[in-house]
Amino acid sequence: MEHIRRREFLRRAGVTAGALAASQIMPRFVNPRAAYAQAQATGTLTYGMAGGFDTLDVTTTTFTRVGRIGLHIVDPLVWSTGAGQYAPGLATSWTISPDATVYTFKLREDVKFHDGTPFNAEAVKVTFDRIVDPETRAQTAFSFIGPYDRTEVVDRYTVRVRFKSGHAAFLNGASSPYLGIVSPAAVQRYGRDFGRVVFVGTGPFMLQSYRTDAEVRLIRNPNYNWGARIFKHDGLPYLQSIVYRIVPEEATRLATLETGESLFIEDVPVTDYQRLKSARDKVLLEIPQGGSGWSLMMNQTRAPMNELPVRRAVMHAIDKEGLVRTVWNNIYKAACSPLTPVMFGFDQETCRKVTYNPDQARRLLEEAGWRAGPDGVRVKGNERLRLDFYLQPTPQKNQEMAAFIQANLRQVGMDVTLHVLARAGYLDAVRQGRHHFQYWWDTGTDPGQMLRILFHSRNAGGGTNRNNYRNQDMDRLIEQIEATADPARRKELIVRAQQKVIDEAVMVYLADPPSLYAHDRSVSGVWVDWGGNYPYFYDTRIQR
Amino acid sequence: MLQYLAKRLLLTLPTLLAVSLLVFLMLHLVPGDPAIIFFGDQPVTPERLEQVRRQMGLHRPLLVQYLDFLGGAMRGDLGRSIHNNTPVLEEVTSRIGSSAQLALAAFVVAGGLGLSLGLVSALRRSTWVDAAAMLMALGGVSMPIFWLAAMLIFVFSIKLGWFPVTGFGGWNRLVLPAFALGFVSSATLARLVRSSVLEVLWQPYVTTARSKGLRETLVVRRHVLKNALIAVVTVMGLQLGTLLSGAVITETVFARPGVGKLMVDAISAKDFPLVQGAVLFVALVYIVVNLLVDLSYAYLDPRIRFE
Amino acid sequence: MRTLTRASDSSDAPVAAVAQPRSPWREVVRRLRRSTGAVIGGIVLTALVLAAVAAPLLTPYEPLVVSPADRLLPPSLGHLFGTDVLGRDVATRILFGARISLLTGLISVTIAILIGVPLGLVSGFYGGLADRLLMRLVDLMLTFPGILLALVIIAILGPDLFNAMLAVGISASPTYGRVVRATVLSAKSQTYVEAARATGCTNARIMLRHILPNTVAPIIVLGTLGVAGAIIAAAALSYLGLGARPPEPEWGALLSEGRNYLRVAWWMTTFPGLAIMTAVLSINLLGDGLRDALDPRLRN
Repeated sequence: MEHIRRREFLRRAGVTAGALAASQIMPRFVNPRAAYAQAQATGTLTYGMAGGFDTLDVTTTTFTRVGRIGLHIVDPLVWSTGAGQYAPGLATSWTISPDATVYTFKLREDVKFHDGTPFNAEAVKVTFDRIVDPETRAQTAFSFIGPYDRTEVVDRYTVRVRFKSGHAAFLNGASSPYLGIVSPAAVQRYGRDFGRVVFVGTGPFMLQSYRTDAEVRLIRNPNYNWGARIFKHDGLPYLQSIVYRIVPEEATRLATLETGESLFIEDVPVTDYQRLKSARDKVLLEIPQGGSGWSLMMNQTRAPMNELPVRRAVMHAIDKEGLVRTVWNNIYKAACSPLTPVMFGFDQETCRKVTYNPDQARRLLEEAGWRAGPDGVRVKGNERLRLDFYLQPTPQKNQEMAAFIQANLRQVGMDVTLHVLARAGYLDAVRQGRHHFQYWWDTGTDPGQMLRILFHSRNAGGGTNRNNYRNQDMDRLIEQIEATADPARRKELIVRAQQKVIDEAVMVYLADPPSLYAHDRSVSGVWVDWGGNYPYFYDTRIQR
Repeated sequence: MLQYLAKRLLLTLPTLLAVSLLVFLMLHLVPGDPAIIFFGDQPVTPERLEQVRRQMGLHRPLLVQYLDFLGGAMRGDLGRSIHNNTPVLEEVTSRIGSSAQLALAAFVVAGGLGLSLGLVSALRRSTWVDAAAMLMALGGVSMPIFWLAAMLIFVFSIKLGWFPVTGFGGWNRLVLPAFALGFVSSATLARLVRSSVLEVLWQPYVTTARSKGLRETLVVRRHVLKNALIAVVTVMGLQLGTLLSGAVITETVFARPGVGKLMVDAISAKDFPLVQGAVLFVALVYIVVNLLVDLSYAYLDPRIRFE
Repeated sequence: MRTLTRASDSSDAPVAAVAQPRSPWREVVRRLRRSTGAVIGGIVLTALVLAAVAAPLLTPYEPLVVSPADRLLPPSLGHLFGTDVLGRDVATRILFGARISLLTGLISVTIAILIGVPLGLVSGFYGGLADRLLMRLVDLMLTFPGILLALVIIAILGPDLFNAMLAVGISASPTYGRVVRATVLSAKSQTYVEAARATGCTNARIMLRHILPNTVAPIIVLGTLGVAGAIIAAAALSYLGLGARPPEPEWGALLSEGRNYLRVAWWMTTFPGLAIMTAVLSINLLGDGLRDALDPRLRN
């Protein structure tokens, strides 16, 4: 079996018999570069991943990285080809009720899971029901599926998903790997081991082995012939296998690309951007990221962040252009709004609203009664303008940005203390609201979901809205956005929301990142979703 | 001898018990709710938070949690990670191979370097050779390991292309991390070997051997080396635990899965069962290795007998 | 992290210098001066300390002031060691960092001594149950991975350089306990101690006046080497993001900040790395010299 597959692959990949022979007689220990060249000839894509994760089960994970791997193992119902645009995946067609509470999908009839069981409406139901089952402890998927009510199996290949309230972003969720369809038989059979030892979907690649914190091996699904129309072919994937190796240290990951140990790496350090861009044997992929860029949350429940002038002053005191130039090598762009420019409904006007103007910041503080003290730090009554900034030690850029912001704010008389805490201590502090400042950065493709995470009062008081911003108008606006399917109306609402949070100086938007990937010149045909999060290797070939 | 062994093994139990209790108490002093950490930056309602707390078994009194763990451990069940639901034993054992490989290779590097540098400098005492050897040994202990590791990668992987940067399996993937980790341990060892060799060189029995006309190389091999080995074995016994569990930086830089990294990650996630399992494992290895060290004294030094 | 080991435990430090009749300290100084390594180490270390103290006088720059325009400048006359990603002068940060890093070493060793010495003293002097209990505790601490101890202490007390020092100090203390205990055991049987006992001295007096001085020599040696170890340990903690609070220019933090710029700004890592090496090397040379000078077996 194995043998046939390999030969067949070699034929497809156009590798001659001579090359095969050469690779077989190659001595076991040679210059590693030559050894990798041999690996390439057999069609294995080695991928340098920036960190570990919790599980391989896309339903229960909280990691984007798991989505990156998982998208190869599961197929989504639909594919997203641009903001608000969708193409068939496992679903061939769909209809949406005007109030966005009922979605009906027609499914492909020729699809089988890796374990041989057929894909059908029941599988969709089981997958979605499992997401909302408390025992599953789903998180990312749980927030993507939103106000889910139930799934009805209309017939063997037709399924109807109902929501308790309007969920205009459901197709966006369904296009993400996290709502990818998993095999009910395998879930049933493996229980707690599902996602840990085995993970079964209908995708072009199958899980071969998983070694925690080390590597995930995927192997080509030999029966795959239901590639989505948006791709260049629909049969077997060209690659024989994909190996995701976890290489947390930035410099090391880059080194693996240079030595050829990795053919593809994620999270390319901006520092090395130029070098890679000009390297003749490497290709740099730069995709503006969907979601919410790097920003600063200001906790309104802790004085003096409850004072609008102080928050405004912070906005004007931070030199975003300088920040992206120094810390981000000008590869990130100064941010304007809680949404990145590629997001549906992004408001260009927001870029004109907040300018770097330290004098303006000083004036605002003076007017609010904060007078310069003897050491330059402002005081009001007995109180010094001392602010606590909580952050995690990694990524390193966290600390660089913080030092920059600290220096900026010092110029207008704010004394910022940096508290660098490991994950447990950090979350404890910010969930309890002991911070004045903390970072936020989020990837995603649905503006409604982003706005809810950042600004809805239901997420205040220990949730993700660590601005602890509570505003009924805002809540209503977000809920309207979520329930509105009409694009023009939806856009108008999203613009209003962005302007409102800037007028009320809820957060400071710092830098909009691109997703940076790099690969060897021999690799071609990499597809990345428009949000920049999921490099997909179905169309990918390796050519020497 | 057997009696001694039995006694030592029996003493292991209370130590392990104490270690597990200590870890348990210390971890509970660390601020942070595991359920909150579980949700991280994801949105969550208070109800769901409470639900996850219950699933993690955190609603039970501390004593009950500890006794439960202990009961499980007696039966060989270390429980499941509260975050990933994976069996702790599996999490630990899946990393032992890689950790042990690295620790042993580093051990060989440290032992080889330490022994040879120490021996050379002692035999050529107060010459430039002595100074050079000791300076080299000191060089190892004077460099933060992540710096050393980064430079090794730069020179030997990127510039020269001799060794792969990362990974496990295959001896050529082990060379750089083992050298980084071993080099730093070799300094202590080299100095120790040097002083213990110097000490022996003046012992009456060595002088006697020499005056009997034994060749210098034979004197060194027969009498001096053995004594130096005692020092090596002692220090390495003490260090093996650290090589095994404290290699977190080496593991991170060279992207190797390992017990050290597991432990650090588990602490930062407050994953009690996982931390406990890993610590117990490391403690056990430490105890066993040091027992072996003590036993090896009897072989290396005939004057030592166990009762 | 391996510096959190108690590797220098065991016979590395001399259990020695028991009651010398004629002025032993003058003898030590004499022999110390004969050791080239120790002299070099001493001179370099003194220079470092002076530079740290006089830091503001030696540089026109501020260690914390950000200057985006001067980002990542290579070494030049204006910036001897170049500038970092935020445009701060690397040489200035190293100078100011010397204050922090050297102090880190001193404080953590002091902590280790304050914990380890009383434990060893009591344990060695009284023997019996106290001894057995304390030695069990020491064993327990040795069984415990040093890194875990450090992480947990920092997690409980919050990440701050002093807490990191505390962690390093605590995990080093068993070594001091053991060495002191061994010294006490050998001193206890000396005739002058028995004489003191016979004349009716209290236990406390015997311990402090007659036995404690014996432990000074090994503690000096251990302590010197410990300072070096602590600097490295602090660097390791900084790598894990749990050391000095940014933007403090602790040496390990400087090195760790620069590690992602290895390929584009070699000066960001090279100079802090050399600073650490120089300091640690000179302290170690001094420590080695001290050990040889204090070790009676190496007399003649």
